[in-house]
Amino acid sequence: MGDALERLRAELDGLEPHGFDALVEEDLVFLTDAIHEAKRRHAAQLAGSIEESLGHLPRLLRGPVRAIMGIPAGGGNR
Amino acid sequence: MSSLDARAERLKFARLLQVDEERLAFLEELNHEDVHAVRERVTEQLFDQGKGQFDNLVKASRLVPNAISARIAQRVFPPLLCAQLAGLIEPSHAAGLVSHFRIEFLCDVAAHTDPREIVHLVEHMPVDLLVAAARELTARGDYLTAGRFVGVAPSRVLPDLVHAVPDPADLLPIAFFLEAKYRLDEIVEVMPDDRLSGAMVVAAEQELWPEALSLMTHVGEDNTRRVAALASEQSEEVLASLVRVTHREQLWDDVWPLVAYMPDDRLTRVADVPALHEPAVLTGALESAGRINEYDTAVRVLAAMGPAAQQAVSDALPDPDPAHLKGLAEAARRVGVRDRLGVIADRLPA
Repeated sequence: MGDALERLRAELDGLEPHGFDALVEEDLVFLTDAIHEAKRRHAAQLAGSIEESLGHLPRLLRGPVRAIMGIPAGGGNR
Repeated sequence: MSSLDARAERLKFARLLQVDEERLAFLEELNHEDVHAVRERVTEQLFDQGKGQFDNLVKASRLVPNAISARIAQRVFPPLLCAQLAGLIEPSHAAGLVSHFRIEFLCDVAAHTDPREIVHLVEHMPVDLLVAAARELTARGDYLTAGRFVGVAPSRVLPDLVHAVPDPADLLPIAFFLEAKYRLDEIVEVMPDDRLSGAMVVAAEQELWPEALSLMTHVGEDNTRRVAALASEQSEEVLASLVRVTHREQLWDDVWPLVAYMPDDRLTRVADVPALHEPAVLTGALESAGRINEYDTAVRVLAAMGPAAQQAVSDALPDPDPAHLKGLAEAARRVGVRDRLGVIADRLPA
């Protein structure tokens, strides 16, 4: 229980989740995992959007545009 | 604590995390403000990802006229990326840019936009565009995003937005998802009586009472009085539906304060709805009245019942919690209705 709450606190960057200690461990774990997965998915979708945008450019221009935009090769902020 | 607020919080969190809303049912056991604080933090974390990554693109967008930037953006950038950029560029500039989007694309972008940024965009968007966005989002059934627009729209624009959504089956879910509940009073204010009444009929037909009650129970005293009077004038079918759904969804904590404002001369219509006299319904209603200190309203309802209904209530309370009987007896004395409780009075301590 303590570990599950600590994991949630860490996932929230230290925000104290007031009242959440009333939840059972299974629910705390589910919520923490769902938050983690939502962040991962959002970052992946954003990176995918950037790649999709670059895909509209002629191949030769993609490298320079990537450099101008400060996007590392192979995606955005994963 | 309002169970409606807890439910809205759970549904919004489920949408944010893209998980089945039933799987987060456990959140309704918690204080909805605590859940809100955690959801806000997750929103920040999600939308702050990648900030700083697009500085050059943001700078470039300032060099190009809005109409051209918008045309390029619609051709090249997926909505999620546009939404990310819209949250990074200066609000008046972002509003100018999105104003050139096709309405369908604008709504795609809006659905992905950081909810904290929508207020800045809406401030600078022309009324016609806001109305068009509200219509399009409603047509899509994207009530959550529509609610974000409506919730932060300037007061001068609100009547246009409310009129842009004529069907209560659309307006009620939008109101339910509104973050800024204090805006609901303004929304009810611009709804004429026939529209409010129509919303109750639709709530009964489509079992949208949680959404309707969310709209009707977050308003100021004047509008609560108006809503309560209109509710008490509804047909028996509508009132029976209200009682049924209130019982099933355990919404008595939200309904009692509304009943409290119903005028005495119209309370009989509500009090005589047969669904209210069923044992399980009565028990739930009285437990709620005790919990939220609405015994005074409860005895007014019991006193407004006809003799047959009072007999049904008396029969339906075979073994009531003594605490209820004591609470009702004290309230009956306080309100001065003990002599109008009929056979129910015989069940109360002296």
